[in-house]
Amino acid sequence: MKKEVKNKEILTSLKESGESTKQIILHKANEIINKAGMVDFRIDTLAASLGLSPGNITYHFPKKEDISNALWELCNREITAATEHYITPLLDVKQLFLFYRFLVGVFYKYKGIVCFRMGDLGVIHKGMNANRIFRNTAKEQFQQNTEYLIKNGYMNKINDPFLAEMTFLLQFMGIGWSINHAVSFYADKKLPKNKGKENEIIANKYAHVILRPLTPFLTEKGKEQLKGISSITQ
Amino acid sequence: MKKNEQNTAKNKNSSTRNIILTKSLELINCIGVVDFRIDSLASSLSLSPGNITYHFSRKEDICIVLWEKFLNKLDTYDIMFSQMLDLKQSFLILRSICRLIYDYRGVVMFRGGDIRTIVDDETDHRSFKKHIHPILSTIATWLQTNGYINESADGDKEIENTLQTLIVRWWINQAAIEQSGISSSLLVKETNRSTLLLLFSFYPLFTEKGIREFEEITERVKQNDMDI
Repeated sequence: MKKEVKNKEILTSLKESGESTKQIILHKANEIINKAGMVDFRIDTLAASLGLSPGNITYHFPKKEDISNALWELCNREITAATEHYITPLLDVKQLFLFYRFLVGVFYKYKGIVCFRMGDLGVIHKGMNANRIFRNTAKEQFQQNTEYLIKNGYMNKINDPFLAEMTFLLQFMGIGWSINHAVSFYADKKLPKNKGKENEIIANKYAHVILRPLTPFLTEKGKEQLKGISSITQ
Repeated sequence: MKKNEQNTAKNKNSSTRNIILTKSLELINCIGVVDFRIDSLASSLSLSPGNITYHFSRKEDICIVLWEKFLNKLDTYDIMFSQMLDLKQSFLILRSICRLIYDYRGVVMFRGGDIRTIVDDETDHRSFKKHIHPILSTIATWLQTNGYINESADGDKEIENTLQTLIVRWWINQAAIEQSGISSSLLVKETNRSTLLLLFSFYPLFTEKGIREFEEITERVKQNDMDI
């Protein structure tokens, strides 16, 4: 009885922040997965960290995979919103860089889930349809980005379809696995304690990595813009 | 006599260990590390779980041994380099590395997929990047010396290294997403394409000589004619 009262009090105080119980659970789960990874993530650890019982968690998310799916869904929603915001017919190299920077930032926010979803063979197999949709959506987006950049004079058309496909693949791989690379690369390096600064370093670096395959096809106007970005961010 | 019996027992132990490792890799390459179980491994070898845990207490111990075997094989690549390195030879060496990654795909994919595992590998000095950087660095140096690529600008070096490491490590994940599983019939096509992608990452730096040779290799890959 005492424990039930205590749990109710904690949940009430959490809800005063305006978030629903589901959102509170997801927020905390993301925090834990970002440190411990998906494999070691446990429902009972999550419950204990929130002062809840495992039953409180499984009422909303019966299995940890449901939490993983919900977080992935949140991540994708943020990406979709960003795409609508950053990618317009006025697209230039600066705007594209900012878009990729934002993308990396979002993926880094959900790094535990992102690494895992794009990592383990079994997980990739199970998520095959979702992965295919992700890939095909990305390809359509890249094609549109390229059309805008060409129209606005920042890029030349890539006439060889084979080269165009490889350019897309390099960018896709940059987006898909930059977070896995970042976690590995920075595991033994000191990042600033300030989370904002840490995110800035990672977002800037990997936005450059994703843009890199486009550089042979940029016009002089495009190269000038890229030079300007590099002088500020590298 | 007793010494002979001891040696036989020791050999039997190490061969059982090797059999366990071989079968583990086979299973992990199909289903991934997350779904890999000691009891399924045991039953596939007609052993009891206790027979397995005698050699490897947890599945993580099996994964680490397989990962270290992979990294040790990666270290043998440094003897392949010569001062005459050109793009074709680079293609062949990188393709061989891609094949090695394919052979250990389940383990490789997992080691780069779970945050805790990634960090632990860095801490315990068994990270992929420490083993692949010298290889990629040597390739870049010789290609530049032999006139296939230009020197990169200072600010760009880290970006290029990052992109190349990213491709060589995660091409297999990309292939797994492109195909529903990676069957052996698709293996040749995927490794050729992914290796070409790796060479393509040098594209911004190619000299005229580099572009010519890259185009030649591309034609051979397109025609699936790989006797180069």
